[in-house]
Amino acid sequence: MALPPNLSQAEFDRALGEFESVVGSDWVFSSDADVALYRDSYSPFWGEDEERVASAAVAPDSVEEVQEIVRIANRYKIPLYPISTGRNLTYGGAAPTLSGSMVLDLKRMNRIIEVNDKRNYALVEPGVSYFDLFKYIRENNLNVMLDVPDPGWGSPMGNSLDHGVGYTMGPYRDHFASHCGLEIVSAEGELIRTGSGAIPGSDGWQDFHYGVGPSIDGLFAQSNFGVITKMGVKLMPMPETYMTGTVTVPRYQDLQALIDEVNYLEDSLLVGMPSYASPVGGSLFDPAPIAELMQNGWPTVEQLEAFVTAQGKPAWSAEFQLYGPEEVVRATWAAIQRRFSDNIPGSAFEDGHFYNLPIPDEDIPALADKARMGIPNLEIFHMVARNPMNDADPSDGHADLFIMAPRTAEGVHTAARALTEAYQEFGVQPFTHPFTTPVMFYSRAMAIVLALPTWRDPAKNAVTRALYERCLDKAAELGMGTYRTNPAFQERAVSKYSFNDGALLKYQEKLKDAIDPNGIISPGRYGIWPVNMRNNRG
Amino acid sequence: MSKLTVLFVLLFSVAGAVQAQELSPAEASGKVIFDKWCEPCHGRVAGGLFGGFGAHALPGTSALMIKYKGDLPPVLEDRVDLQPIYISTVVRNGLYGMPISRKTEISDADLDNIIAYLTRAR
Repeated sequence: MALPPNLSQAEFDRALGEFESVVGSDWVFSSDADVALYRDSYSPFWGEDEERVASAAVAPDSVEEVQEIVRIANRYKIPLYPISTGRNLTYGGAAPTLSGSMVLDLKRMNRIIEVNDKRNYALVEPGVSYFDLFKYIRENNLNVMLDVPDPGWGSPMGNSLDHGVGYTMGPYRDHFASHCGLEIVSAEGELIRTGSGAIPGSDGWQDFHYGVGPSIDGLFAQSNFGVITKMGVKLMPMPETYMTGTVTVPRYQDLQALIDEVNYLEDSLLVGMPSYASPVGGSLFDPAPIAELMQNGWPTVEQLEAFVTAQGKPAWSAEFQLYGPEEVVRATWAAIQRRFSDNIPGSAFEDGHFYNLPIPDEDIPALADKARMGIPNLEIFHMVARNPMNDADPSDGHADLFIMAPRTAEGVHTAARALTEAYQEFGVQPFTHPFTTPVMFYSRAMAIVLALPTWRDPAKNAVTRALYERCLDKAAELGMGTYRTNPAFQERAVSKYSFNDGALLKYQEKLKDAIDPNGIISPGRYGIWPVNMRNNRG
Repeated sequence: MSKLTVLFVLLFSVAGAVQAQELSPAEASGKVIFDKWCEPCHGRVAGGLFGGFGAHALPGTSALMIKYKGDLPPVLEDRVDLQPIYISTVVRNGLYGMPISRKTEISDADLDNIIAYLTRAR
């Protein structure tokens, strides 16, 4: 395995001994077999020289141990790469950004310190998973609902710090926006609490997360400025009911009006995550009609309207999720139908599910859309595991790419067209088409979602990487970027945010140099290199 | 509660107790660890699978259903042919979309217990 940069084996062995004196020899992993467990299972560089691999790993059990580890790392100038549950698959997993870094594996720090269902928050350590927190809430009969991402094995803290997202109401499904208070071990080993947590004896850490003065919390998301050891999570009180309803609009050119209405409902906090779809857009398993439509290039608006008419189905739909007392959700659904009837001719409506919450334990397994009711699971992985589409040659992982488009029909269509062209350049069946719909993980922006396969085959990965980068480039030509990516693509993704000669990254690196003078925390993460390693860029 | 319901509850309680008694301590521990780390992907799918794909499919179970096409059970707990070396290799190396599991998640002792549970005599 790799050594940390500029360190001899003898020096590294001495450092490992010091780490062992802090956490015990069972929790320092340095054999090849143990370090291999920190590889990124979905690496787009698997088995190649560029694959990001660790030199070792250390797994503390307490904040004090984290502080000691950081101090030792400073003495030896060993890069540390903190992970929480390390299940950030498609975005790097447990593997570091810089090969030779030592993984600071925080999985053992898995304490749920508090869940308060009167003031509606939790305070957790990094190694707590969504599964763990859900189990704790159920076992203690607490009246709060989680907002979960698709992978339930992830960490509420880690997911939030990586700008992860979920499915319920806007303020909760933007996970970093719903954090409330951080405990940070600085790059020099000092313990910091943000917001009201900085007041000795405060009982309001999770209630008032600003305190006074500048909030530094945002510096610790998708960055390398410190190690977070506790985080508050704002929780939604358990709604009395959950209801869904779907609106369809008839014409291709109705998408803008549909988006305008959805934006109104979202920004008024009347609905949870809306799910756009196109009844004429087919599915992954039935791409034939769309492929035929596109055989002569991107269709005209007239051709698209004719296609919709010929299919005999509405062009677009949006499913709404409503949370609250039954009389409120039913009244909201009635108001939604009135607004659409008034504003978009030909709108039609279909009632969806209705559940009293919380869902009884025995009813959970058969429930579709668990994540929308805050129930962690791993079911979405069945779409990228071996499935009827890839049975002949299943992939080994995937690299997700979310292109963040403005909330307009033009934004959706131009992004879909650019990504389609990128795929066509590579002779790969496009994921996108004229009826591509956005995913509203963030209520403030639309995501056009791609999942590119990754492999344990360098030749196939070369195609995936080139296509991924081409998609990033094509999106940037439209003024669009991504929100999160694998370390293999982070520098390229960050390079698109280049206003005023890259002033933003320059400022972040000034902070990096001041906060982390030895450059020991996650060098290179999201393109931020410490001054002593800046020649690694590119 | 009706007499019939009471009878069913008693029957299932007794069946559950017998099953629990039949597991050795290592196997029982393995079952707990399996339920935490493996079951969310490799469990039994509520209501059955429809061609291995669709709502509330479990990734491991649906993938194995498609892979084995009926030649072997897709639910790992129904398999009687699993070998210890195969289980440990897959857990520590991953396979297709299944990721590697680290020792801070599934320790070597935990893995031994999972193996004991999945390979127990039946």
